[in-house]
Amino acid sequence: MLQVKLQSQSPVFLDMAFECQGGELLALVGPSGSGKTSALRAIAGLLPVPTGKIIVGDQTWMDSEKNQFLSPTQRSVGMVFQNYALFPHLTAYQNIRLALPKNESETLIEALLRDMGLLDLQKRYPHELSGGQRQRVALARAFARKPNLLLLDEAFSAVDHPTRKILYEELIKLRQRIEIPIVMVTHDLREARLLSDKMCILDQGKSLQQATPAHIFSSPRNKRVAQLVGLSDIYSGTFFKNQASESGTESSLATLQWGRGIHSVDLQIIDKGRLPDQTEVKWVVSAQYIDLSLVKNLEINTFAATLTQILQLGDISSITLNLDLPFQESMHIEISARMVKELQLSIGKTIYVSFDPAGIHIMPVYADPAIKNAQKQRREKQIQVGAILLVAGEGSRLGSIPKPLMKIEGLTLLERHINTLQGFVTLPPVVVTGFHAEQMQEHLNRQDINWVRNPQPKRGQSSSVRLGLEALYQSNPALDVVLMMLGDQPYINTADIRQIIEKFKVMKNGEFLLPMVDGKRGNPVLLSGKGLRDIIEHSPEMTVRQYMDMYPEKVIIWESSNEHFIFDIDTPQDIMDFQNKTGFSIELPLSR
Amino acid sequence: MDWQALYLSTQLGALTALVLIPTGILVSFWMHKRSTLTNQILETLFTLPLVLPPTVLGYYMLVSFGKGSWLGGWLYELTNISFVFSFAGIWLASLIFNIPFAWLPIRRSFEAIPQELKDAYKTCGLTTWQAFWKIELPLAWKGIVTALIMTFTHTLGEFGVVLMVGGNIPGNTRTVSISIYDQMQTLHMEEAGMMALLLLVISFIGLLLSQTLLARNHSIARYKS
Repeated sequence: MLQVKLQSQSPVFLDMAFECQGGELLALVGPSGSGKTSALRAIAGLLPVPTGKIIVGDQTWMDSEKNQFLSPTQRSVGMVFQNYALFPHLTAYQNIRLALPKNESETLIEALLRDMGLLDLQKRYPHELSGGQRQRVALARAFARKPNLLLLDEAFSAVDHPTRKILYEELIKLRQRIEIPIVMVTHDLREARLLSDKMCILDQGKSLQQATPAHIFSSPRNKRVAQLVGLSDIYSGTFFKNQASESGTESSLATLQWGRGIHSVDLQIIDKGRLPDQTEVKWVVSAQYIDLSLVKNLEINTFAATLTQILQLGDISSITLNLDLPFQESMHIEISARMVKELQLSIGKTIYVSFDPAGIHIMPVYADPAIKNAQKQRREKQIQVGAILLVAGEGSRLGSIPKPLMKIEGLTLLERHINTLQGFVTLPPVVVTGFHAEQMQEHLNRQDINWVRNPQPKRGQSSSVRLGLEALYQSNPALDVVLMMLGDQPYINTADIRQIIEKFKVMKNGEFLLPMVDGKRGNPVLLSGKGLRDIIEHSPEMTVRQYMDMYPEKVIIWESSNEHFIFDIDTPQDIMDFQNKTGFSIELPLSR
Repeated sequence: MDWQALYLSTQLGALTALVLIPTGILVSFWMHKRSTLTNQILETLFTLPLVLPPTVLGYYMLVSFGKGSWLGGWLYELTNISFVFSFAGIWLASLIFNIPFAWLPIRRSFEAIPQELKDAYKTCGLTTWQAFWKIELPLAWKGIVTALIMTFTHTLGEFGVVLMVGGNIPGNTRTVSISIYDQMQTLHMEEAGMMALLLLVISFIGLLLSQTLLARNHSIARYKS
């Protein structure tokens, strides 16, 4: 067992901690200048480090607090160097012999020579050996020390590719026989992935993440780690926690808003409970969680994409996709040549890409504190929210019943909607009634509702909206935003409202925010305070619809995959669908 | 041929090398643990004799080691040896004058041992002493031999400082180079020519030897290949 903690300002900056169990191989991975070789030299005692602790088994090799420092000679360490560091004036045998501890018998050398296949080469000098042979002598010399720790410094970088493969195999075999920790330094990710049990990612002297290779490649801790392990597709987004679902159980799913501002799409992801709501994130998805198909057979996290490049790399093909999104984004995926054939991929072809929520890995962005603060302020900005709930409809397709009074699990839709709005509005929501007005008012006799009656509901929704806006304008003409909601959308919950309000907050221009799902216009719709004042002050006849037609540039379409926004109950079939999907009971109100 | 002068020169060369080579090894070994600034100052001091005219060194030696001087007088009382116009004097002058020829090649050859090899012997568990004998010295030996040859041949050829400090006392301070000068002065051209040729051949062979040693099969060069 090895435990290392190093801190140093000069000659090299180091701030790292990692550990390695006996029999385990830890790979220190990082670009040049990341401090990986310095770390190794510090462990061996070759580089004095002012602060830190190095413990190997039950021995303390260094402890700056106790002022303990063993010299390299006192540390029982086997080290293999990048250029092998064989002594040129000594034969292979003599090189190995040199590291043998005093009271050790020379039979150990014989055994090592035999194991490494060096028996015939023992009298040769290093310059008479090939790269692979020299490497084996170096490894044998490291073992001759009977070390408690083995250090490999880019030990495979100086040999050619076929030899490297053989050496990898030998190392894997060798590892099965020894119980000491092995620390390997490499900049080769494939090598680290192939040989190590654990990886520690280093950058500019700092240890960024230590975990199994599989974990690091699928769940890098942050963007820098993702870059360092060669993940090329790193996307931006915002993480939204889902609110408790309607039935009261906490949802393990969360929403990842991919992209920025208004041009974004939503992805479903797993909420691991590590990040707070509305965190700016970078995200990656590992290849095994990406599904490609020719038909859209999955609903969630599925996007159409156009193939723009295929690079054949032997059995593996690297393909580039341009995703069909409201913003420019491409994706690089490595797939087998067989899959290319099966999908009959060719440049220009449209395919569907799905991301398994379990494979989407999000990483918080540690932005500049000033930027972070500004973002926080923008999000936390208190805005004046008004709401209009439109319940004036006749409900003719359901036999003329007041649809908002249908009971879902014992609670009417109207009540549910009012409850949902409570957490957002800064003044009582305006409920615009028309047909069935008395019935509704009787049902929900509450002080915190601003009832408005449309005397001519037959004139259509536009007139109801106009009346609702006038009522809000009279209550508070300085509102920041108006939420216009329908009374027959059973899925709409606080998470959805929250989502659309957050969208509005980051919206830079426009006065309307209109959710669009699968090409269908959804509800609720947001109208800015300025839009409200414009409409009311324009003329008594101006409706929202007319205003939108007049100023199409003020209407911002938000492409969402949240189907809550487009489902309403209009027909008996809709009720059946809803019941089947949710298992909730629905009780229809009586018509008067 | 002035055999006496040749014998004297050989003796002087051998004695100079005998002192300078071991001290050079110790100094080099000692220096690589020092800070860069200390080393730079020391190196500058060691290199000075290379650029100074022999007369400058001769002047300072006469001034400080003459019997009339404080140091010279004290040394004479102590050892009964005079360091001017004596063999001891030209030996001391040779020692100082040959420092760059002896110490610098040795220092270079120790310096040329790659850090990786030094790291390697430490991780092999070798003590400083073991590392010196088993690794550093064998890897630096070519530089040491070069230093030996350079020191010896250079001592044979030294003229100015020997003349100034030692004068021209046969059997005592008259070295080959002084003998050549002396023969020329007395117009014994043939004698002078013989000895000049001898010095030329010795110097040539010496340099050739050190060149080939450096060029061929150098252990460290092998390591790097």
